[in-house]
Amino acid sequence: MNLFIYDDYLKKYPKITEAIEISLNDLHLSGKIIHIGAIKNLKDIIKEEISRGVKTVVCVGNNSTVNKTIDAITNEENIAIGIIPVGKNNSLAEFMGITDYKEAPNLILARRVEKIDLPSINNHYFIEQIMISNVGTSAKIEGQYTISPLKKGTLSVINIGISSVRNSAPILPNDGFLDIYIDNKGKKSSHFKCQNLEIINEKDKLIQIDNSLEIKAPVKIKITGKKVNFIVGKNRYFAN
Amino acid sequence: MFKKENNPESFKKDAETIIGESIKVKGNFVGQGNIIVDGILEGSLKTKGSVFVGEKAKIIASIEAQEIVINGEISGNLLIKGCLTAGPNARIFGDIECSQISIDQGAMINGKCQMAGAKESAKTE
Repeated sequence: MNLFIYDDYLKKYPKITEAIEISLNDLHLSGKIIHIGAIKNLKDIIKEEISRGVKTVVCVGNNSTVNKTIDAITNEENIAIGIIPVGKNNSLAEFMGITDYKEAPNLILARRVEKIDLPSINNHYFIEQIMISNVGTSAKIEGQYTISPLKKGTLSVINIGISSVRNSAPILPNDGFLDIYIDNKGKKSSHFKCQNLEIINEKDKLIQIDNSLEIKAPVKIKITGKKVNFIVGKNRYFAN
Repeated sequence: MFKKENNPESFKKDAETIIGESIKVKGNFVGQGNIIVDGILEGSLKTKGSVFVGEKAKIIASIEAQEIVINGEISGNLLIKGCLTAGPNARIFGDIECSQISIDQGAMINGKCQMAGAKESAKTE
């Protein structure tokens, strides 16, 4: 049984939404539809549907849609999350090997599942990455050592992503570790791996979570030990 | 001229940690894999893998590793299980203990150098 979570911005894409629904219907992928915009207690509603037998929660939208849904699924070992990407900010779907909304329903039907690490930042879970400006930032890694960027750029803590630092080991989203990348003038230059860290910023720079939420430092980030099941495509970036 | 062992490309493959030029690391770093240092490191570094120290690196730390290639500056004692290679721009201020050593012309070492097995040889004489 499926549950479809529609993000509010889909109102801007009526033709694509219609095409998706036709495709789902053709594949006999039916289920209840929940529109995020009208809901205040999304987490409770999803949990209730899961208790009624939902096995797959499909996020029709983007990274933000998944981020809003994840809280309800963290303790559900048998539930899988699918993504039907619509519009911008869909790097997560791309990493999962889901290239567009036309292909996505077929992948949901195929139900190839991968377990992905679930990290947390203070009281929030995140799936993909968090980012903060280097300016005024330092990171204390596992209570053992501190990293201080000396030039402008970005510090990213990545759970799912592409390694773009030459010669560094690839990012694996199910290895129990977070990958820290620090870039300098757009070029990724440093790489660390850890299971927990604390980020401090002296200049009130905001931390961006999964390109959808922003919070202030200081923050504590860690691998929680929980895993989330994601439906993936053959061309996912982390194929074993 | 760099020997093959000084070639960063053969060393850097799948490096677990890269401390880039514009980064400062302070504290006790413990790793499992290969580490590249091109920036500033203060404290201590311990890894089961190997360490590559770039020309612009400035290290004020003790280092314990399987192997090490040094092209930058280190102030600290080095405990290396395998081979220590000092390139022509290496500047080492500290004591060294290793099982093999290779020193290029131009490298500078200020400290004691103990080869593994040397203590036992002296005892048998």
